Amino acid sequence: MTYVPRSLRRSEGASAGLLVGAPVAAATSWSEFALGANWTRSKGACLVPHFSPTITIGAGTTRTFHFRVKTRNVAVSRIWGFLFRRASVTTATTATVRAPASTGAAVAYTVPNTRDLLVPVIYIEPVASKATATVDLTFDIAAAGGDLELEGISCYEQDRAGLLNDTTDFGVMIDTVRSGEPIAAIENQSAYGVFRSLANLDARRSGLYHWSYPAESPITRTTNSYLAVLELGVPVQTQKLNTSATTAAVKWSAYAKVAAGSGKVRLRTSASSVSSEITVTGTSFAWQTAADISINCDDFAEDDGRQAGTWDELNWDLQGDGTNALSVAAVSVWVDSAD
Amino acid sequence: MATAAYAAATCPVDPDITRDVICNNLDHYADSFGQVRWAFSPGVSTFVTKSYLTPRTADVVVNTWYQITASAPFPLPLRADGSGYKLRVRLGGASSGGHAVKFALVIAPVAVAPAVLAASNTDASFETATTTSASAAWLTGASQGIGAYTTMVALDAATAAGYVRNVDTPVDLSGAASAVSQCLVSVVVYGSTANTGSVPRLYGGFAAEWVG
Repeated sequence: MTYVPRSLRRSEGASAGLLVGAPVAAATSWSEFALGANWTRSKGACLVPHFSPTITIGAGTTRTFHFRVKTRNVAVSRIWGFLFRRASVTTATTATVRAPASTGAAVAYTVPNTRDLLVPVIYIEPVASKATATVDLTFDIAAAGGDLELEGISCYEQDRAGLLNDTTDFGVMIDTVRSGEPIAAIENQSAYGVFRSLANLDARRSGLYHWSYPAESPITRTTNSYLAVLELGVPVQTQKLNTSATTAAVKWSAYAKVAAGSGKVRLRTSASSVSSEITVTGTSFAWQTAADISINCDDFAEDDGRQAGTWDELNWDLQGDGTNALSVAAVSVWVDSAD
Repeated sequence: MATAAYAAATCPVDPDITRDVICNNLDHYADSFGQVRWAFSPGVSTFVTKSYLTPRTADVVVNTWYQITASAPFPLPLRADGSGYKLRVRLGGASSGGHAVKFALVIAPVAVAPAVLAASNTDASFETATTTSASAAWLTGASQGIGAYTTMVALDAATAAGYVRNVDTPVDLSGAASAVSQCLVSVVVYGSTANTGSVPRLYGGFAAEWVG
């Protein structure tokens, strides 16, 4: 199997490189297409955009976090980023991370004693198999020595250094699209290789929004009326899938349970006017059945890509049944479909 | 995306269809690839212990930038001309004591960010208007370079090239390590106050890649 290196920069295919009535053999056009396909396939998706749970993990305790997201099948490793502070300037503190929670390799980090300059740390999680799948992405953190302030979490799929010329990576062999090379219908080669790569391309903006709190200390609500969780609604926007689209479908879910009875989680958006409810009846923590919503998508007519120049803001609310507490440890919004 | 334009080895390739299918689809995939890198709003005090972040410096000096938070480094996609995909950004904040505070966002490696902020003449740096309100709100602002973008920051090709690093990663699931070149940057956020009686409180933030 051949390994096809990726380029640092993306390429931009130019339609002028292919002329009506002329042979499609110009080196610039086909090479750009192959390089572009390889670049787009090899870029990793951001699964969890950076966010701050702003919690303190007590010394001697372990906290577990959950995220719902759909992975892409080219990734072979994930990069977790964390931002730690000591709760005390003087007390030496260690943070030990495992991803996935419980089963991942434990890596201990010494938390710096400066409280002025925050320096993120990186944890690398190997991926067991290349798969496009909706997963419960998890990690846990144990604090030792002193209390640990967790101020940042993020996770992205690491870019591939290159692609294999197989039917999973669909790497296009660059030397088969050079000027003078014949146009061939061979897997991973020539024009056919480019077409096959495009036909199987998954360039999703995977993770759109996550809020995650430790499953050991979730947020709760018993009152039988909705209360908004976020002080400020977070901007949310997905990809544009066809010329006339102004919205596109994404999924959301909550990692939740109730003590008994039922509770509800509601997700709302501003510009796209979403109001979607999930009813929770299970008494053990679980990801609830994902709901489909349509939120604003990219607008290529706008300089900054916002649909009609407007922020689409997301907020979510909790409601118990008046008697029993609803507990929520995470809410996730992700892109499920590539086309 | 259809493969019908190249249905079989013996079928002729129509250059017009080829142009449309390949150029439009491939460029669109790459154009819309941009990922969300930062989406932050902790929650109201009913549910969470801290609804905002602040600088942690004990002795705040007025009109001086202090780091509030920073994202982990992420690989910013580079366009064909070497410039980075822009980041569509937004900052939300408030003042703790009614005095004027403001916020800034820089796209750079964490160690380089203070110098970028100090330069104050680049579109890699975004500064909000001041606020005296104690209520959390999204703030207006603009990048500090010639672009003066009101919702974006941008990294030019020369600067982006300086942030490119080689990072070891497995070539495949069980492969040996190989170097992948990436433009690694973080979103770094600062706050400043005009009076020591107030500190800037960061209630929300957002940064998403956009091809621009």
